[in-house]
Amino acid sequence: MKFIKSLHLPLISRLILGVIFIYASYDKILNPAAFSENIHNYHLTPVFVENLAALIIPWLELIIGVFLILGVFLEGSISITIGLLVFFIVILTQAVIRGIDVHCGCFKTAADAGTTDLRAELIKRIVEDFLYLGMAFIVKFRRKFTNLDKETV
Amino acid sequence: MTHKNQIIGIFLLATILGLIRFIFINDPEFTLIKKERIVQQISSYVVPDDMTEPMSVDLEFAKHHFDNSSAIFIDAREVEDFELGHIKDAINIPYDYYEEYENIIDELDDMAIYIIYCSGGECSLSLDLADYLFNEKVFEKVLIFEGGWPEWRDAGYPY
Repeated sequence: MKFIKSLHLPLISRLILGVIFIYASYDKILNPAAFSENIHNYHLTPVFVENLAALIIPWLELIIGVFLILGVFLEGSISITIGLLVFFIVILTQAVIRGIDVHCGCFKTAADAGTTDLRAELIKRIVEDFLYLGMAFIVKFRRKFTNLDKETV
Repeated sequence: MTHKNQIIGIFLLATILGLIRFIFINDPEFTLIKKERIVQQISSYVVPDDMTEPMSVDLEFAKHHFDNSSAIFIDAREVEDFELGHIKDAINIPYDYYEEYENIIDELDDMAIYIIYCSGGECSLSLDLADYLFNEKVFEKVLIFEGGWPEWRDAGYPY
């Protein structure tokens, strides 16, 4: 345990998560219409909220990314991070299960599903999100992972 | 600041910034509350001469024009999906890569009747391609077969 605590995992995790969230927000902030179309393709949300979500989610990602890197408002930021990651995992998983081709926004029949690389791409994204979720939990329970006090991690 | 207040504050800040971003969007079609588009359906086998936007057709209409060779079918799905199965004699113009198919599009007769389809259900590729051909390429009779490939295949029609 001492060795694990010496690795500064919470600090490293929140810096990595911060960079990832800022990077993820960039293109979406520039192109909300395209992001709205992506949201539409998952067929999960009512149409009327798609543009609103496309406007707000990228800023949410940017703000928590910056806060994670700066280490400010950490409790709130990491809770939203966990919430967002769980949300992403759920929508990606249902896309895989239901056979949605999120690239084109089509439902494929069972026979057609899995014939392209899109399914593999979605599964890769889910695995990545689980990894990020693990890092988010390290930040959430950072006192168990570090010798330093709460304020410095 | 408490944990709960931090979460509320971050959401509020994101909402305000999102709304400010909205002010700077120069796209009249991007509204804060998105409206669901309703495509008008053709009720007979006759295609109106004065269409103002692409219209929707059903399986029966598609089959009628297929049998009479009076319409050209365009498959808007990706090449891999097209190769797995498609309506007989359909042309493949994947909407996601339509720029690569400009040569084919430019050779098409803009006065002909086009029936565009994709994977059925909530697939939007056919609608997107129809909009492009109707609005940008000024094709006159662009129709969308919403049942798409699954409905055609399940009906046992030629492919």
